Amino acid sequence: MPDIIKTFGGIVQKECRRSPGRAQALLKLGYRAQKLRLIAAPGKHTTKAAQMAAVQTTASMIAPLAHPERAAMASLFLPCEPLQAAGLHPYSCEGFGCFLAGTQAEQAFLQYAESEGLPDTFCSYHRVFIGAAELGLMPRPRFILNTTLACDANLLTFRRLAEYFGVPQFVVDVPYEPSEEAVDYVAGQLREMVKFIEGQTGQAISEEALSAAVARSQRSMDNFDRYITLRADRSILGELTGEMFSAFTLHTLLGTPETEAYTKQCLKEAESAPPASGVRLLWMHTTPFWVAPLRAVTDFNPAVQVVACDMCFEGLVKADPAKPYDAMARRVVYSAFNGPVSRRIQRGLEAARQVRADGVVWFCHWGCKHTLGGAQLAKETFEANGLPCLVLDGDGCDRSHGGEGQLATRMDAFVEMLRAEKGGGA
Amino acid sequence: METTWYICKYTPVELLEALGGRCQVLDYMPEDFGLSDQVSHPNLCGFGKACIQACLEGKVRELVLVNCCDTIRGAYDVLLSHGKLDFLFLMDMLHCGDACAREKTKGELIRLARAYAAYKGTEFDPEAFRAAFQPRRRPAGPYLSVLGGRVGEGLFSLMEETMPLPVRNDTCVHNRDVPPPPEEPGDFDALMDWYAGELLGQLPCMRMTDAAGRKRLYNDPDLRGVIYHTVKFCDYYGFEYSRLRHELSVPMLKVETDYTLQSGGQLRTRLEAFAEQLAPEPERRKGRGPVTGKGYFAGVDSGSTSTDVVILDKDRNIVAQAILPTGAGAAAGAQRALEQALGQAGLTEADITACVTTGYGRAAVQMGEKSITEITCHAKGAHFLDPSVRTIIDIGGQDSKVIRVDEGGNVVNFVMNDKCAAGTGRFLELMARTLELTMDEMSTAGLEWREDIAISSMCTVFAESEVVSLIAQNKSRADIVHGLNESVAAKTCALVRRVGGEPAYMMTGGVSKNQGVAQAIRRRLGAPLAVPEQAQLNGALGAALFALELGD
Repeated sequence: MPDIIKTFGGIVQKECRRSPGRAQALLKLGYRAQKLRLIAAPGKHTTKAAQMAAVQTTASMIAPLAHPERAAMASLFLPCEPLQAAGLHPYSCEGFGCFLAGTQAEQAFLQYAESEGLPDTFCSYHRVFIGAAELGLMPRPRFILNTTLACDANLLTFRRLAEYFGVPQFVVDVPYEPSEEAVDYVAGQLREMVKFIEGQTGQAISEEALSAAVARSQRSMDNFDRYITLRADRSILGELTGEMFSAFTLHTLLGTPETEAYTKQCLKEAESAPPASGVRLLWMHTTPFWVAPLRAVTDFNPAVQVVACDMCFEGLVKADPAKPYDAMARRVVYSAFNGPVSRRIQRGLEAARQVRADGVVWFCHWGCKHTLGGAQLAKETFEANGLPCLVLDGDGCDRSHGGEGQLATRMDAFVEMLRAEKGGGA
Repeated sequence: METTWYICKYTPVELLEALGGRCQVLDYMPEDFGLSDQVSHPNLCGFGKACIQACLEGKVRELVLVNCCDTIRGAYDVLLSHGKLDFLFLMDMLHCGDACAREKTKGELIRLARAYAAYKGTEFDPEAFRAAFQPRRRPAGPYLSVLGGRVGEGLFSLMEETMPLPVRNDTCVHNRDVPPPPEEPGDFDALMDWYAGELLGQLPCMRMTDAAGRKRLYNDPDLRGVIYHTVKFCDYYGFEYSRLRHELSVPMLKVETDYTLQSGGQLRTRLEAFAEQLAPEPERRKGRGPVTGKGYFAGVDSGSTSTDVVILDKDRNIVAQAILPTGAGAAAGAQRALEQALGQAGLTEADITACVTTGYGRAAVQMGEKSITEITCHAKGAHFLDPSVRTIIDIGGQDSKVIRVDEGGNVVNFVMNDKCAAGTGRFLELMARTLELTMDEMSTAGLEWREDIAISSMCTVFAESEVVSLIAQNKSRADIVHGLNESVAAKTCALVRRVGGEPAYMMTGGVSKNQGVAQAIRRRLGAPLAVPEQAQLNGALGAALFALELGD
């Protein structure tokens, strides 16, 4: 399979230079084939829930390629319920960055970004996406919506692409300090955002449809929170890639019936899963799913499992769906990624206890200053609370950063250490 | 009195001074980031690390930050835990300048005023507040502007020293400009409301959602050129640079630092080359006597790997040439190479009318009338060899550069890749060693490839381990070398695009002898790429041509 993907990725990159339209059609065809494969033959060990997240996310990547006139480019942390209520397709920058890397089609886009003089220290998900957009692989969206959360990259990428595509942009500015005042401020901006969407599409967004979507979001978050609790005593095998699918499902696609169904399936599987076993890891930040030696350690391995990832639980909050704007605003303002990094570390600590993790991997994705800045503080705090922490440097999607062997060696050593601590011997 | 340091132009400096503070911009460029790296991460932006380092070294006791970017927020987190500061404050600012942002900023000003007054044990002094507003002085007439990520005093002095026109520091905090308060400002609350509006009304920085107002910085008829500075791992300004590449009508030089003064030599080369581009008239070195010699002109290129010498007669014929390893000392290497060339032509030093030095070692080589950067010399040499050349790709031992020239052989634009071995001669040397090939064998080993192997790692160290694992997988040497050639070509062609390269192309420098690399670049460019016989001597040839102009 990897060779087919590599060949396909190579063709998409080459075709992009010759005929972007054809490359786009090819990519759409490839993702449709991938969706069919995920439905028909998801893999021997893939759980039903993991399959649902993968299918849903893949479908969300196909939609903007198939119907760009109904697509709105959105940042990962933007509450997308208004788009869903309007029947529009959120078009995730980070998601596409990840998917293109998964398709092994990222290098041409990274090289383009470099030739444009963009910093090579900039987040590689964003660089891949900018390259793909400006080389014509990504279609022109209807408009662009983004939050200032969770990183500076949002401000830069979306402003550049709004200028490039010549489409309107709406920015939700999230105050740094989480407070009720900040919730009111963001709720006000989300109201303006809904008016913006209505103005752009000429389509009214019904309060009822919006409330229903926000209620689904809340139920999905509650289900997922309960799933984390149940998982503490259970062994559910999965893949590093699965955590990323789950993150997209619980962000850009939060509020859809499919996400709610996914979280229900998670609960169902947790209830009937075998008892917990092996070394249990809490993963902080994105996962470098392209690093094969690392996947060999974590994927479908009863001896080592990633039991939770903060990309999936950082925004789980309790809110009142009867106040949809307040509820959506609360999710971003009180996100663990907002405010000082101590909030993110604290949330990680709570989740580690909730899911009974044995250790924490703090993954420093190249260019993510938020994660890099907090790395040592995280290590100190987790370890002071009895949780060994591995600070792992790597890149979530750029293969040219290399170091697969080094990543796997560190991971192996960490797992051996945790295993020895659990009394299982190295 | 202890200094209160600040980093951002949105900092309410006048308010702090009205509360008894003595404020100064923190522009400390440390020797290294040893202490900072222990508590944060090496891949934070250099300025953020410099802030942490300054605090941990005990140079800073009071610091007011603004939540400018992810790095500064990260630095604040680290300093809260490890800083041992007497006063540390982070001011939260929204990313727009609307009424809500003004209200929010006003709230932050009042919060800061309370905290700072409590710390200092002082009260707000309205007279001191008014007195703290200082008008901004700027040179009048034609000038050069330094834009982008912050440039501290040390680096700015180097720029002033090397540039032929007055230079303005318009980077980051240095373009701070807040007008004085109105005569009847009202009570403290009203004053802070006014102040918040004025702070936000400044020329926007790149963190603001609407940065269109920054056009004021480069739409000025007196502006003659821009030095665009970025700090490694700071991403904001790279985006503006990328845009200015297409929009700016005056020459622009891009420089990047890690916010230390390391690699000053490389930086100086770029600055001097830019100065030569702006004012290309060669001048004879001050204090030299009248023209002597017998009408021979020498060019000495002191490079990192080899020292090259070309001697021309007054009719521009090459009468001697030498290529020698530079060895341990640039000056001794240059002397040896010059002596060899002189011997070849049967000349002595007294026969040389003028000599120009170039290359990284040019400052250390105390010979000749003038030293000119290798960028200008390569342009000169290439133009001499083929006047139709518009883009020169020069890959040497420790850097690669792409130079665009006009029909007169003058430098129009250039980019350099250094501080990283990827895509340079050194990279190929290391890989050849891993593959147990000589450099000559390496040149042709990849020509007969069968499988298209992509060497994905750009880092030299990782690429080496990738090559080792490809050897272990029994991949053929030809295929591996081809992959390496393609990797160097990809890196080089990205530079060509950055500089807006156009045909005719010429390749110079030591790596031009590598047939595989030249072929890969040619294929990627989709255009002919000339590799002249004198490719390796091109810098020295350009220097000799300059010497001839001086002598004339």
